[in-house]
Formats: sequence, C-alpha cells, structure tokens
Amino acid sequence: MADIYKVYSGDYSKDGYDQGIDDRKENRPKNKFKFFKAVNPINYVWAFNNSYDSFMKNYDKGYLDGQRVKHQIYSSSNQTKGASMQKDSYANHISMLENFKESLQGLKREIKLVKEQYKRQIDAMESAGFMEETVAPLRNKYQTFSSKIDKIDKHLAQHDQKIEIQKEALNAIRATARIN
Amino acid sequence: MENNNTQSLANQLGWCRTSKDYLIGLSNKLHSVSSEYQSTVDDLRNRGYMADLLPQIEEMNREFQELSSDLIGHIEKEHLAYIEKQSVGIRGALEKVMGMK
Repeated sequence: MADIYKVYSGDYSKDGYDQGIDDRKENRPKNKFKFFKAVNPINYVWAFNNSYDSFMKNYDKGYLDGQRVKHQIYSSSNQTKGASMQKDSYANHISMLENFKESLQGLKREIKLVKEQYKRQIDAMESAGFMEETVAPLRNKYQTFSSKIDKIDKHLAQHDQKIEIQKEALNAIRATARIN
Repeated sequence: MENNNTQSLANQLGWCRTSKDYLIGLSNKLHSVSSEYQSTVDDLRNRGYMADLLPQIEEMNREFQELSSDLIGHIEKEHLAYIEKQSVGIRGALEKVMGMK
C-alpha cells in the first residue's frame, strides 16, 4: 500500500534519507546513483522530477545527520552560538561575582566602622552625663554585639575567599574554551 | 544647676540620637546586602551558573542570611530598644526640667 502511494506521489524522501544515513554509517562515499536502484521503474515516466528531488535532498540530509550522530554534533551553526553564549555567560558570571564581592567588602568595612563608632559612643556615655547604671547594661550588650560583628566579619572573609576560588575556576574554564 | 542639668539631658538625648543613627544605618546596610546576596544567587541560578559551583554559593547565602538576621535582631531588640527606652526617659525628664510637664 505504501509502495503504491510512493509510486503515485513520487515521494522518495524516506528512501533517500535512510540510504544517506546507511552510507555514512558504513563510511561509504556519497553515491546518489542509488536512486536508480531505489526507484520504481514506473517513476521513470511518472512523477520523475519529484521522485528524484525528494530522494536526493533527503539522501544528503541523511548523510549529514549520520555524520552529526557519529561526531555528536547536532547542528554546526547552533554549536558555534552555544559555545559563544557559554563563554559570554562565564564572563557575565565572573562580573556578577566581582560586583558582589565588592558589596561584601563594602559591608565588611561598614561593620568594622560601626563597631568602632559604637564603642566610642559607649565610652563617651559618662561624659555625656549618663549614670553608670545606664552605661553598664549597654557595655554588656556591646560585648555580644561585638562578637556577632566579628563572626560576620570572619564569614565575610571566608566568603570572599570562596568567591575568589570560584572566579578562578570560571576563568580557567574560559581559558580552556578559548584554546579549544 | 538647672541649666547644667538641662544641658546634660540634651547631651544624653543627642547621644541617643547619634547612636541610633549608627545602628539603624548598619541594620539597613545588612538588610540591603542580604537582599543583594539573595538576588545574586537567584540571578546566577537563573543564568545557568555552573551546577558544581552553585551549591557552595547557596550555602554561603544561607549562612549569611542567618548571621545577618541574627545581628539585625540583636541590634533591634537589645540596643535600639534599650536606647529608645533611655530616650523616652530623658525626654520626659527634659520636659519636666523645662516646665513643659
């Protein structure tokens, strides 16, 4: 039934495609004369142009797809775009990390500054006229405040280091991508 | 004597105001860096950041959010609340000395 339709329509696209894939799989050079083996003799006189064109176009497509499968390349143009997008993304990611690192460094400076300012404020409480019973609780609270600040400061330093390591990893990947 | 007292109360009120400004400034900065931390992690995730590296950044973010909200809570509950309580007392005393009460 399928053959009758093929002969009637002159659609040899499937035959062409399969033949192209097979030839590439077997590492055979392109051989379009295979059309003459595949085609039903009726199509020499009926729908010949369509039969020939559909076979040839799809033979090429099958041969190319066979090549892509063999080399695991699914589209040469997309591959190029994909690679450059990835490189751009790495560049963007590195720049995002750099900006973010600056923010963390800004916070690091700020917490140190406020810690010192607040310490000076508490030291100046008595000269501002506060009674010792008001100053003492705040001195105790400051101890906790100060240790929390130190804890954040320590973590920020660790985060800074980790971000730097991630940046180096991304730079190394970018460099490898450029070489390849 | 009354003038000295008024001046001293005014100094104390000024002290409260300055200290509050420092602490509120720090608290705001912590809020802003916390939200920047979160949005950087979200952006990296959405922009296909390397799957091998992302968990470490996410963990750092969780750690920072925890530390930051702990410090913000401490500033608000312990320091700002204490200073505010002092301010209210000083303001009341000042109004009394100045004959406003």
